[in-house]
Amino acid sequence: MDDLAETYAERGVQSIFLYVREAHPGENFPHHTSFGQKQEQARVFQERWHCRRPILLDDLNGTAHEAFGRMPNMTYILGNDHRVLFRADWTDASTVQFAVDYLLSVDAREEEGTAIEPFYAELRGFRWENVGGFAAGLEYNGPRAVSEFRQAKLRWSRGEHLGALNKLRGRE
Amino acid sequence: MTADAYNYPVFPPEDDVAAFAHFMEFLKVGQLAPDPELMDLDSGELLRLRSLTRQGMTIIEFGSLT
Repeated sequence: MDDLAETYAERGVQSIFLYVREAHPGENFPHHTSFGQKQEQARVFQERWHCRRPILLDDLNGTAHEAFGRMPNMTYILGNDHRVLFRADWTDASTVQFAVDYLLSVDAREEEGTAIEPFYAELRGFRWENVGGFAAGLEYNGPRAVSEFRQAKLRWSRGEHLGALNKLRGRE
Repeated sequence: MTADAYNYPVFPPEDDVAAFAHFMEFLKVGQLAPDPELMDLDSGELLRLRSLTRQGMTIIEFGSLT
C-alpha cells in the first residue's frame, strides 16, 4: 500500500494509515489501556513495517473506527467532497489500485467530452491472502495471539461465532 | 462504546459478528463520511479528517500492529 500511495501521490491522491485497536493482542503487544501505549505501539508498527504513509491515530474509544464500520483492516476512498467513493471490508492493494484507476479515469472521460453521471455500483473483491505473513505477525505478537487465533478458527469451522456469517457471505 | 469494551484483551471479540454483519449495509458509497478528530503520529497535532479530504481524493487504510 505504501508503493501504491507513492505512485498515486504524483496524481494528487493522498493516502493515510489510520491506527485503531489491536486486532490480535498478545504478550508482546497487548490491548491498549492508555492513549500513550497506543502511540507507542503505533510507532512500533511504523518502524516494523517501514510505513511511509502518514499515520493518524484514532482515540482510545475507537470513535473513528466505530464510525466507519469497525472492521480490523478495511479501506475507504473518500472524494474531495468527503463522500465515500469506494470501500472494502479488507485491504487489498490490487483492488484499491483498480478502484483508484477507475476513479481517476472519470476526469479523463469528462475531458474527452463524455457526459458523466454518478450511479451506485458494488463489486465482489478478491484479495491476496498472505497466510505466511499473517502467521509471522501472530508469532511476533506472542504465543497467546497464535493460540487464540487457532482456537477461533476451530470455532469458525464449527459454524460458531463468525463461521455462519462467513458462509453467508460466500467466504467458506 | 467504552475504551475497555472496545480494546478487547482476548481474540476474537464478540462484537466481531455484529461488525461483519453490519458492514455490508453501513455507510454506502455516495454517502457523506464521518469527520472524526485524529492525531498525527509524527507531529502530535490534532486534525479533522475533512481537512485532508478537502485537498483531494484520499485512501484510508485502517489497521494496527497486530
